[in-house]
Amino acid sequence: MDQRDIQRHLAQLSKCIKKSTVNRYSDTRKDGYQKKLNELYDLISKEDFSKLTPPEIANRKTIIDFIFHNIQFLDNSTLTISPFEIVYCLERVLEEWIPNDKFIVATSLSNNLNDFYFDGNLTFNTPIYDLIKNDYKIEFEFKLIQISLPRFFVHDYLANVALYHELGHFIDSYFAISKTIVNNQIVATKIDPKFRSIAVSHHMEYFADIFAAQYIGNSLNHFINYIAYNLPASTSHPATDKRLKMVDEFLKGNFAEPTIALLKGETLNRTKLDLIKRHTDLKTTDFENLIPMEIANLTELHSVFLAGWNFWKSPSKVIDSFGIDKSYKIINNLLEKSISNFIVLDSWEK
Amino acid sequence: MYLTGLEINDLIKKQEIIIRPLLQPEQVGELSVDLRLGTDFLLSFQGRNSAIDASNYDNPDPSSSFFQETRRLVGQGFLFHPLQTVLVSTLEYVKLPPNIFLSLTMRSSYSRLGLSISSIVEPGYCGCISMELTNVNNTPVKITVGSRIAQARFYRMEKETNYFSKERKYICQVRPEVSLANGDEERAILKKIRDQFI
Repeated sequence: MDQRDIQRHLAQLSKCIKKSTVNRYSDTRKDGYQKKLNELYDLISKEDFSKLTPPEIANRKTIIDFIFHNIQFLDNSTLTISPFEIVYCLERVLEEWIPNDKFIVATSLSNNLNDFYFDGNLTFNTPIYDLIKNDYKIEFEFKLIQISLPRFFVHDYLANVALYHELGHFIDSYFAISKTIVNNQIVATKIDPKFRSIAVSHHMEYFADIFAAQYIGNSLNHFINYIAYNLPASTSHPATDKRLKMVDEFLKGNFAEPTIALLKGETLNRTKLDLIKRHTDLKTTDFENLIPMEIANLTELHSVFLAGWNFWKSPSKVIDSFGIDKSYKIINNLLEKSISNFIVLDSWEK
Repeated sequence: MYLTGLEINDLIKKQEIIIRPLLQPEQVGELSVDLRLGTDFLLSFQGRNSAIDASNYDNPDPSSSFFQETRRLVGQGFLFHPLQTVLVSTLEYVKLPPNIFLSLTMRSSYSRLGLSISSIVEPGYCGCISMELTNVNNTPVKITVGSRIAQARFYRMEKETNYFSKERKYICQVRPEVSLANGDEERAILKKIRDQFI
């Protein structure tokens, strides 16, 4: 890696960052974040790379990669592209668990089907933020929570229940819940240290499933039971049937189940919040009448996804008569409008 | 029969007319209900094709490549450029009973800026109401999303109709959709007639 390499990398970034500068976001915090990236880019582009040592050039590469990575998410988080309504719901959950307003949910749209994931590379990469602060005196007030979803599903509110699970991964990582449980289990000689990584991954999946179930009931089970139908355990995920059963046990209130007990205990210990049911069973009469629901509060806001799934899963003479394509579109439209009306009313009353 | 504000309010209370959200009770006036500019837009622009060919029998979707989607939040501005067709929906989701239809016109304050609309919404319709807006002024006009730009007058009919007695192209829409003109049923007949003379 030499000076010409880093100049090439910077030239590649130049094109991307100029384009992203005109992005319009739904959230002024994202505007502020974009400005910081622009400032950082300006400072790097004015540097004389010929005077840098090889380790310093390596650091510049890391920082340019960091900016690229941010742009990947910010470009897909504009008001026009992002799934605004679901991001709004996720941010309300985030406020409940981490009320310090230091994190922004940013989405990236993937070309791969079923590519839902949480990427902690930006959120928890403290060394890169320290490096930027040290070398350029730029401090990022907020950090991006990067959540990816397939671009085909931007307006698909039934599929997007998976994003509650992805946010669960962020909460788990932030509070180190699964890692702590597994470390304690290793100390208590209940888990062999050589299986540490697998045990942490499996606990993380169980946590994220249960975290989501608090808000959206068994909606995610419907989705997982399709996209991961009958999958056996892997190094990253428990077997699908075990995941489904764990959520069912949680929703039934079987908190004595050993994994649920561990997750609940450690969550309470580290977050001061318990894993509990945070949703309600909404009647789907409005959907049956082809009108959006009037959502009264945040509990109902999250519960609307469960209502949508219940409505889809139950045969309906009214909606089925339109044919599958139209009826699926209708349900998604009604879900979107129910949420967006809540958002408008909430901001109007404030 | 033309409905007064009192009658409209009564039907809203009985949930026979659905308007969601109704942000202010004052939207219901003496003779009409004010409806607001929605958040989603489809803007016409010059596509790679030479024209919108709504006469092409083989193309079921002739116009989507001529429209671009964009979105604003309530309170933000949207710029209507001169002579650019903009498809937008009302902020309100409306459902009408089977014996009431509505006619939609621009509020006078916005007509005076060069925007116009005239539309009929059939009994039984449900969804946000599509508005095809063109700024006929020679100056760009910026409007705030969420503004009360249109007014709906309601008419009661003597007999009920069934909105879903035939297949509908636009059902429960919550954002504007491009024209599905090529989806009209009579297209098959027209094609058959044309083929007879080729």
